[in-house]
Amino acid sequence: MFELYSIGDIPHDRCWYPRSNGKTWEPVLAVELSNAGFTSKRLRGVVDSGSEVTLFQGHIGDQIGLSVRSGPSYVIRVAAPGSAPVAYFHEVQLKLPSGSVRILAGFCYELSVPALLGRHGFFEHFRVTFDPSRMGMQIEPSNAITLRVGKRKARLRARQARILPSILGNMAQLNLYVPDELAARLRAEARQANLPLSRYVAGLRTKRSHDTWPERYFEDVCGSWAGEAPIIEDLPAEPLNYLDEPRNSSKS
Amino acid sequence: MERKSDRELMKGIPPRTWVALSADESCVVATGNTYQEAVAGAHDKGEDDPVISIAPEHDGLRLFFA
Repeated sequence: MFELYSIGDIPHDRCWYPRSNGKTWEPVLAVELSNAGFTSKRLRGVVDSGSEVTLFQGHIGDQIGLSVRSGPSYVIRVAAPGSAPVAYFHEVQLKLPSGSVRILAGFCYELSVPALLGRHGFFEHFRVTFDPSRMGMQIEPSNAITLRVGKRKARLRARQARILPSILGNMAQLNLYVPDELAARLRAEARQANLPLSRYVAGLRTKRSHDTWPERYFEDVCGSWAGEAPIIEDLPAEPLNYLDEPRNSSKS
Repeated sequence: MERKSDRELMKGIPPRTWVALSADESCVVATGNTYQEAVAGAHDKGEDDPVISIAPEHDGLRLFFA
């Protein structure tokens, strides 16, 4: 999921005005919050890796049925000296366009934005890549596996020839969203095979459904075959270890 | 489509005012003293999927740290 930054003008008297073409940007993301059947409207949140926790405006917590002040409370440090706002923490469901996740978030009535998406509650569940060249950020679940398949050799050739890879064609990219355990297992297997994860997963053969039996299937498995082959859909399921049994050439 | 900053979108709106933006976050459709008021105002204007924000407090630097 790619989200554009919000962009605005820098006042002329700011010392970095000439360095940034007069523009400033902010990473914002519209998220929903839900609890016990109540769902908020989309909230314009700020993606803030400098924030230890994820915070929401306290009044939003009221709207989704939370008894905000009944949660464990902690004073939060803010950049403005002299203020010591308190956040009350509750478990809620955070919804993004790319998925939802249950998080522990703080609710603070003094917060000046609807949502502050911080390290705990947001960055622990999502991989965020800030991309100044596209003035936006790529957000994907932390258990996503990104595969690059296709013209890998073309990219290497392009690099060697010192020309843009795009001239030889872009490399296709697949994003797979898999359970955490499967992601960890695939990474471990790729490391064991001494292969990049993309190449390892791309090399795994997937089962294809055939309209007909594969060529020489019965000869290779059974030794020989006589008569018409049954329709695939009519066959009962075979035990998986059948193919591992030693072949007997007298079988038919 | 470029996404405008809070300062650009909410010029002239008093700080800490709840603001309902259009679904594509391109303009303000309603404001209110509370979240509910902003959402209700958006519905009255025909926007059923507003994005809720809060008008910035002042025109200074925004720094978040929690």
